[in-house]
Amino acid sequence: MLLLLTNGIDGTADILVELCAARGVPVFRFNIDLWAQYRFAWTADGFVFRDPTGRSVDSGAIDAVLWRRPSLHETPEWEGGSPEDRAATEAELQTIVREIADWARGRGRLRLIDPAGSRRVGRLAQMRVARDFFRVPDWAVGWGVRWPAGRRMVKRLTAEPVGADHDRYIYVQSVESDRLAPEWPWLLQEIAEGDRDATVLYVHGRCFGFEMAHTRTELGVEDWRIRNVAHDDPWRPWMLPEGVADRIDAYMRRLGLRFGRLDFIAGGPELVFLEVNPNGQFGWLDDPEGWPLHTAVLDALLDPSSTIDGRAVTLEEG
Amino acid sequence: MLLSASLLLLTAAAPQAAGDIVPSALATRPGVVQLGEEPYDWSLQQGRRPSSLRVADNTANCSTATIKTQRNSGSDEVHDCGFD
Repeated sequence: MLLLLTNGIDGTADILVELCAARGVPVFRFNIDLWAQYRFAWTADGFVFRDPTGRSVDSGAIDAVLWRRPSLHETPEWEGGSPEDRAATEAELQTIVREIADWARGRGRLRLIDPAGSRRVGRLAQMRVARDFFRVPDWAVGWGVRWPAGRRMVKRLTAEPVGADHDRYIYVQSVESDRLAPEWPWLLQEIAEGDRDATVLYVHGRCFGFEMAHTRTELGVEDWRIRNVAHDDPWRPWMLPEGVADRIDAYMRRLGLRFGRLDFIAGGPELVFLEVNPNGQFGWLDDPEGWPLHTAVLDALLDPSSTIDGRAVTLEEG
Repeated sequence: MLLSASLLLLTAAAPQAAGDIVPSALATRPGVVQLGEEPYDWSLQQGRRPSSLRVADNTANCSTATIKTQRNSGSDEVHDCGFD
């Protein structure tokens, strides 16, 4: 039995379940936002989920666990309880799901996606290690600094929302860096050379490349991530330049990641690395005729060699 | 080209000036995905995804959502929180 840890509006999980059905692979999906509609019990002997249709899964029957998007921050609010009880409950639910992932990791059943990937391999570690494999634009983090003049990209180290209502985000964007207030911490990066944005889905050794159909000039941006509706822009399959797939594979192995979506800038003198998301989305890139990306993910999930083993990974020496 | 860390710290850290950019000035509200009215389809547990649903191409970041799968008093919005 494959256990998917996710939420109720995860279209990728919908497709994975559909592919499982077509192959006769038993699967159970836990949607954390719909937690109240399940029943759950866990003792020293193991745990059992039961969904409203009466389907259930016993931990002893679980062969593989996929950490998709078991987040209450990205889903509609569930109903019931006082705000205090809801906050307390959500913290408990998130912890229980993490404990399930840890349970699976300890038994060699956690596959493909490391729930701790983004925390373990943060933006700065990604960029430092990437220099051994790709061109990486210069970057700097700091405060108490009046930044040198020039237009640069501002990035965030986390994807946490800002504002009193936690309803705003600071997206990647370009600024005149000497105008940044010096007392605040900033992550700045030089604007990469190149005219076209590209992204690569890495699935346990396999690379699937895509590029933006329009150039940055045509889009009028320095970086497609600026565009809040960038996923509405047309993407097309991209044949990776010779040797790039091997470099990506070596890079991801160094990071200890079996899955991720890597962003690049292409079309310049060299391919330029921007970042990797260890649990990146890819649904909008896939072809509904056969779902090759989702199929690759399912293939990897069913392959014991994609197990997240949790052993220490040496990112950098010295 | 950005300077080295030690050179950056040698530059005079002028106090904040009028017009300086603070973090909140760069924050924007993301686009919002309006969810449909249908309740969650528990058949999704069984692999019987209705053929009318498709992966929404406008929710590529927080969730590649089939946007007709959830209802919560019919007024929910899910923030489309930017590529991550």
